[in-house]
Amino acid sequence: MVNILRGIGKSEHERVAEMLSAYIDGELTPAQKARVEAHLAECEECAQNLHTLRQTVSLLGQLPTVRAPRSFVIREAQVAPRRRAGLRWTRAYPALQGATVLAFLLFVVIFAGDVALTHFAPAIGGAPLAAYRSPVTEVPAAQWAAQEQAAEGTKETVVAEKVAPVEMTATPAETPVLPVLPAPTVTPVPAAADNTAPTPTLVTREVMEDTAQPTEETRMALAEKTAEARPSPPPTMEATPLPTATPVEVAKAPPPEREGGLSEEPPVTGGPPPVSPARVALWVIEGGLLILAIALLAATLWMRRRRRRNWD
Amino acid sequence: MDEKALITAAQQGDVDAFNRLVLAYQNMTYNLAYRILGDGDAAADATQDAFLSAYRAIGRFRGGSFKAWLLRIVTNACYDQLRVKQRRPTASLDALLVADPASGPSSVSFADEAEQPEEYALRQELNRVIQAGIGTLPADQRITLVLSDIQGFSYQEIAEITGVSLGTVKSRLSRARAKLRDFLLARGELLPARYRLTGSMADSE
Repeated sequence: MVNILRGIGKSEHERVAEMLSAYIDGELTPAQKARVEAHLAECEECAQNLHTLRQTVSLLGQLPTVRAPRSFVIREAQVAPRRRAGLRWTRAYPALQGATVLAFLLFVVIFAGDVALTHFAPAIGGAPLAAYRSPVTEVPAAQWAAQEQAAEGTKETVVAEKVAPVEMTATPAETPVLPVLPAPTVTPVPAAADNTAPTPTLVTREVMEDTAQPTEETRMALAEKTAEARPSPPPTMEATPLPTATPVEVAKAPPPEREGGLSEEPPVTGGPPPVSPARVALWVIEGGLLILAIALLAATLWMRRRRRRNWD
Repeated sequence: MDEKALITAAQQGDVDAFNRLVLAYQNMTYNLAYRILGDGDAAADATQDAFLSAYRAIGRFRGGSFKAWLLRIVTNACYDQLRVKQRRPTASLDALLVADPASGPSSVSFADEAEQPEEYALRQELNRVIQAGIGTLPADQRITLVLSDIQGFSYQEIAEITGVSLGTVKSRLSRARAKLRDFLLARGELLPARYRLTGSMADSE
């Protein structure tokens, strides 16, 4: 409608003027061409316009062809790495983002766990750490336990005290290697046998009546052995041959089952534990994680800036 | 190897095959970019960008006219260059008109080797005015004008390259020519007498 109105509003002159460009190129229908030519014959202005337009077109046509100043061939290095880099880029960024978040989360979890265990729950924290505590700290524990026992029986204290020093000398060479461990522990066995030997019947009676006392004795040896080396069977192996009397053998059988409960005893001994290798290792892990997380964050931010610039 | 075979090879990642296409089209591409942009450096950038884009996109080329497909990429690269130019402070028209001849294309060649020095200078001057006139046109009209009157493409080809209808090509070209004509007429005193546009119909038809 608008076009029709505009067409009506336009004079023949205006409409022909619009067609002159196409007329030059021979892009008009025969009817249009005839119409333009009819108008040109009577309109000086349009004839002049046609002339100047033709001149303009011919001026454009005479412009020299500009040749490429250099070769635009594509070098393999120019395309392949850029292309690959572009692909890697878009894939690497989310991966880096994820790695950053993961590193921070891991750090937070480990750090929080560390803080919680050492400050808010020492009982829980003490248990695993005790396993890493140096053997030296265990000797007082053994002695303390031995002294406590001294109040009860006289024979047992002798055994306990004899066992303790021997264990002390054994601990420096503390190794799970079996040939080494039995060697020092064999020595207290005759000592224990000697103590029980003078009054064989009496002791066995006592053992029969009060099983707690002889087991306490083996428990001592067990507690220290289990704390140092897990392969705890040796104690029972040694304990069995020493008393020839059958009742003792029966009495000594239970201790290995108590092991689980025994391992909980060491933490009871107070005193600030010295910095253990476990703690140092934890700190190294925490520090390393923090540094890694910060480095990843820096890389992510840098990559984001690069990416934004590339997409501009 | 014919063009079709080169295209097929290039689509399979053969850079050498693609480069043979580059060598075949780089002069036309650069010339088109130079006339649209009026600047050698920008034209070189557009040409380089266009060939790189073409290499990356050739896998998506689905037959038809390779030339039209390539020139469509070239004109898009020129649009990009024009946008970049708009962001930067543009050279004024006067600066273009009094431009140092050395800043023009170094490889301008003339068919007439016997041309007199003053003739050569006048022609150089005229070409610079025409180029400045092209530079005053809006991007759409400019590209249509260059494709038609400098590169010699038909309306149908231009429609294909620029992705518009025939009618649009026709009207863009009509307006572009009229504007350039007005520009050249207004600067008639800059034109040597031989090329000055006159109202005379003496040499028409």
